[in-house]
Amino acid sequence: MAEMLSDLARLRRETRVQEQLFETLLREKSSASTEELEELADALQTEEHRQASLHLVGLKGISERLKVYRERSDDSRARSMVRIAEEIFDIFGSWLELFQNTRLRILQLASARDPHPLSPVFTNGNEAVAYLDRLMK
Amino acid sequence: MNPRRVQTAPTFDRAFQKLPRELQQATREAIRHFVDRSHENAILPERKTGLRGVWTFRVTRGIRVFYVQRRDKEAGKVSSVLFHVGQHDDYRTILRHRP
Repeated sequence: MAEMLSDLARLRRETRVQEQLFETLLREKSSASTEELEELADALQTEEHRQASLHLVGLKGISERLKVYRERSDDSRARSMVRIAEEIFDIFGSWLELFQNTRLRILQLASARDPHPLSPVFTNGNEAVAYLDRLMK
Repeated sequence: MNPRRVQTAPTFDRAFQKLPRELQQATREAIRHFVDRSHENAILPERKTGLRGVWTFRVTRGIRVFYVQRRDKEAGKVSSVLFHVGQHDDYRTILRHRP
């Protein structure tokens, strides 16, 4: 149990470190071109999906064990295991969301730095659809 | 209810053009509903969790449009500027449902 709690603390620390690394990356890329930022966002998405597939498989195993622990609600050790499992879900949720939100911040920055003008303002759905139809051709 | 004022950024246009045809069609319909404020319960415009100033609405279960709101100084009105469309996984929901 102590080892698991120590692992959870380590995972929390790693998430905070990753968050700081992403903040540094965003500062470093604040004057990058739109094209460079879009490439970076694509690379980050690939990594996000790799991490998600890696972790979601592991979490499935924890989920199966969690069912068993939940049924033993009168067992204090089982209740501790449920709390630990929920903490693991929370940590990995934060971890994956961090990748996703960083990617979106990069895309937002790419959009702000794009020298090309915005589309006209659409005030009815048909105007917007006509514009998108032209993009689809 | 008044329609929304909506613009697309070039980054959105490029992301839209990269989508497969069927997702382009779905995005087109979602944007129609977004501008006209029809089917709000289907597209679910909402703030993006953990990202200040970014909003999102739903195209399909896994695809969202992302936008910011900007005040047009000349018109004195708020416009929604769509800057991206693409994959979005609600990891907290996925984990809550425990695959």
